[in-house]
Amino acid sequence: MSENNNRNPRFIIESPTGDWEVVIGLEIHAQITSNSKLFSGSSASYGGEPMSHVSLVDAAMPGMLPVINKQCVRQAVKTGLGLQAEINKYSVFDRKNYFYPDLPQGYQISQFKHPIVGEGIVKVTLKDGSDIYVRIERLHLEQDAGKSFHDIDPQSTYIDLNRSGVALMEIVTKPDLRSAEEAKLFVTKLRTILRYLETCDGNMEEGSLRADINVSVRRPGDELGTRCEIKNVNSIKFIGMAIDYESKRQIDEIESGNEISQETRLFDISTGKTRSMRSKEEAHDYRYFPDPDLLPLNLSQDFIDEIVKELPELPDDKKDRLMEQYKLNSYDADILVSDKKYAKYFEVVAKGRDPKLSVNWISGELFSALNRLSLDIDQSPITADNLGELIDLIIDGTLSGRLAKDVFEIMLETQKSAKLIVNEQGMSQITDESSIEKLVDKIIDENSDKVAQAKEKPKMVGWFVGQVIKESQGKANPSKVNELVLKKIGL
Amino acid sequence: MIDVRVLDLSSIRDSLKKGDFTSKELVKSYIERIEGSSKLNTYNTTTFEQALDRAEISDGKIKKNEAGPLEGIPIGIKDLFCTQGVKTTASSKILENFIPSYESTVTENLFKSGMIMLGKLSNDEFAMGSSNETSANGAVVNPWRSRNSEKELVPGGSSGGSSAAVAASLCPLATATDTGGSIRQPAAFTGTVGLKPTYGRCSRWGIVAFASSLDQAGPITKTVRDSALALQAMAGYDNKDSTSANIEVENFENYRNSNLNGMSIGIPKEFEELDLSLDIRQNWEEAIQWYKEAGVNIKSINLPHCKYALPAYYIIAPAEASSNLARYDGVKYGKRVPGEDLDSLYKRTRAEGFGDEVKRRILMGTYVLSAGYYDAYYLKAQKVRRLIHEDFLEAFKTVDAILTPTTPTTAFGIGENISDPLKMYSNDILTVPVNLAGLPAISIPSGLDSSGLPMGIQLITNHFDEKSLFKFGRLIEESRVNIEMPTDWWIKK
Amino acid sequence: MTISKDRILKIANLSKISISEDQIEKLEVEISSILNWVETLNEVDTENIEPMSNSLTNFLQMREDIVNDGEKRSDILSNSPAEDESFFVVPKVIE
Repeated sequence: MSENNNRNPRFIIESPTGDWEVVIGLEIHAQITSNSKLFSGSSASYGGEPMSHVSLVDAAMPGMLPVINKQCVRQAVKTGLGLQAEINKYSVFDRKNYFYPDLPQGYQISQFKHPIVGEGIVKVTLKDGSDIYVRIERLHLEQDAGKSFHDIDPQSTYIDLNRSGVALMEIVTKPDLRSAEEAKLFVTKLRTILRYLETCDGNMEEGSLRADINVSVRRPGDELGTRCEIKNVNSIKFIGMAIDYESKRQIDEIESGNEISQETRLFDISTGKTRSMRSKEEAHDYRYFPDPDLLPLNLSQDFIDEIVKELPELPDDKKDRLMEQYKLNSYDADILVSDKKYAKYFEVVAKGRDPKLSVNWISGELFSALNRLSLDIDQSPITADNLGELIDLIIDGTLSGRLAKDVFEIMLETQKSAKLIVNEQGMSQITDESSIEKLVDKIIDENSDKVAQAKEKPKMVGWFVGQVIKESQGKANPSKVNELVLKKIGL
Repeated sequence: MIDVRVLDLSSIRDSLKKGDFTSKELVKSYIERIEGSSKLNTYNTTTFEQALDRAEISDGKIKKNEAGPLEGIPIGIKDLFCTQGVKTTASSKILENFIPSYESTVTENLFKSGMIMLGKLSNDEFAMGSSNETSANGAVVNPWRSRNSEKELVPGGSSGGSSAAVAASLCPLATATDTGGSIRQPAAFTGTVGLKPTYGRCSRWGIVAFASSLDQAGPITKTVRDSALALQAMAGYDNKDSTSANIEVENFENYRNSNLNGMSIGIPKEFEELDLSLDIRQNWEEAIQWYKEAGVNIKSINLPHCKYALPAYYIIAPAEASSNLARYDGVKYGKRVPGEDLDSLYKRTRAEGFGDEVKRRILMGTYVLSAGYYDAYYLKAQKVRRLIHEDFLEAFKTVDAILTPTTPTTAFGIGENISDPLKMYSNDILTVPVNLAGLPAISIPSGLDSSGLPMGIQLITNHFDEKSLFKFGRLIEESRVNIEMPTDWWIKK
Repeated sequence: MTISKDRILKIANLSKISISEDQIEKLEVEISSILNWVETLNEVDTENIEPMSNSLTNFLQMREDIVNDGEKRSDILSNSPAEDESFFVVPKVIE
């Protein structure tokens, strides 16, 4: 499946000197959802008073030793299964040696030669509806570092170790991405998978998901160019910005006759630019070697089978099923599976109801309301059952689309059921002919001049219909009104 | 005052039980002796007041029949074991003021069995050395001297404070650690019994790490029986140490009812070719004779890769150490030498905080792990390690124990080898293979050389078979010439 | 194998240990002689031999995911050479 030298690139950047192709690979650091840290019993929860979630092990006190957390291993395996990757029963923890004040041991325990998860694959649907497949090279377990604060004091850096030792999964892709857009969609998809699996909360603001981005450019069909690594980008938007800036920078450099030097760069969110952090010559020599405080990890087939049993339906499968079971189109299905809570909500609403109408109400009225109120779907004031009831009232003709929207707003405010609101406020649609006829007669009487116009310009009929419905406070059934107006005007 | 010179662990245990003396009287006697022995420079830190308080509690427990198995018996702790509230320095400037808030598992086990700490014993800095001369607190002096000589000798290392203190009766038992011979070599140099248990037998939790895959705690005592008693109290599974062996601790003292007749001992051919002093070679032959007489089959065995153990060790141990000692960076605890920026803070702190031997090993270890050299050095050494391990496993298919001298020479003079690292390293040639293979081994005093200095014989058995070490070791004690402990030449009156 | 001055400086930098000019020469001699000595390992045929990093042959035991540690700030900070507001403090790090 190597498409590294594909002469028909998916995405090109045009330039007066010819076309360019951007090649992107990602290393995603995903914080594992667990109670305690990877090698110690202190809390892995976010935040807390400085130095509160810190054990003697996390602070690397002399003589302290690591003991691995089973749940973190399970989560890594589960994620591997979710990425359709091979699970390595035998894996080894190595030390990655470097000095940094928020790295108390002077080394990070990671996995180098023998990661817990091998090659996998992620399907990403692009905006045009086509699919690309991003290959995962590996996933390994490692410790997070503490946190450095450079803004508390002008002369000093402050170190907090609450995060020190929290479990991370590093997920490494092959260089299979070709644009900022693809990279953003990949990270979004990966985050969705992690959230389905509940192995990482995917909360980028809290740093639960961070990306190192490898970017290089080349002429289509050429060998891979020299890459630069942009470290620690912590939002999907910034990932896109960093790639766009960096690829343009590299193209400019090459077009100005310079060579790209392999280096580590930082993305500065205030300027939207990347800048050099250290060159390859200054690159670390991490001196990886097996951690002598730990033995190899050996997973039994039973251990893995247990996890297989717990796997939820994943986004791709769910999408296929929703399309099959509810006859949804790909676009609607994608919206619903982008968060498993959406799909769950949908399936309650759509039970025994028109799926298309259900999707439309969810992705339309409900999402815009939740967005307005900054609420998550599981905090929605309108339960899935209540939305379903509202749709029932539309289907049985009790409510027109217009009325339904009004009822929806009241539901949002009062959290009452649609039926209750309709009953309390007498909001049901007027469908009986005599009532509507009275209204039509009234409007025609009041606007006899316009009747003549309407006879010449049939488009005027719409105006009459609108007036009638307005007169009914929106309750008159629009098709009945239309029918009667035509009849009365004599068209 | 009690004459503690004639006492050992088991006799103290019996006397305390019988009420011959109280724990408090005993502790006082040791304190007085330690105070008079400052010339030997064995203790980095003393904890006399706490010891006296603890002794009172122990006396109460003994009276009420609530005593632990080693209740009220004083002990010296190598300054590599973290002790709660008591300065733990690893004999390094970089930890000169470090006070742990925690107790190492091994010391906690010992204290739970009723033992009372007298203080923290000197060692080579971070346990790196074979003479105890690399301690930031200065050299420890061996209580033994050659006949008709006043030359000061090293007590061996790295557990030189422990070996000298036991030999000089400044404690009946001292904890020690052995990474390449650091229990057995000092025991051999001081006429004491040094036991390196199987890797994984004693928890490493709370012991300042030197080389994690090799480090193992054990006791230095006056007798084999004491060694068994001490191991009983120190050993045990610890779920805080991922390399702790979940194996039941049997009753080691039971070794005394066993018979050696029909068992077999292996003599490694390759060790015969080593550069050993004549006295030590003769002593080894003598020991072989004792076993023959006891009905033990003596077999010549091959350990073909053991001659490579020393160079492999001096790659593996520094490699692990270079990483283990990275935590001493002046940020979280320990010494900090300020610098204009972080990098200079690190570099000055570590340059001033570590001594020459430690720095040499950190640099060596960094080198063998660095890009381009890893395969040629570190990986090669790890492969040789496996071959050495396999040599031993092969040997134990045919023999119950292996018998060798502990050291190629007896104790040497202070300052004699310190400037020549390779010469110093060669001290460990007989002990290092055991660490690489993770096996248990014991050094037992087996005689005196022509100048009157103690020699040690080493017994090695299969993994987790410490009991056989005691079983075989007893015969050395019974067969050797009487080894009189040194006279009190150093005592300040 | 001898080690160059340049290499000594590189590993000293990796090890974060400052060394003076006269120390470099001494280390050059000492480390070179140690390296020469350990090269006797090249006599051993290690073809197809798996490296061994621990004498124990069992595998890692895993602990349950329970929070039973932490919340000991005073213990963490009690030996600190420089702290403020419960943070460790070091000279400003510029990225």
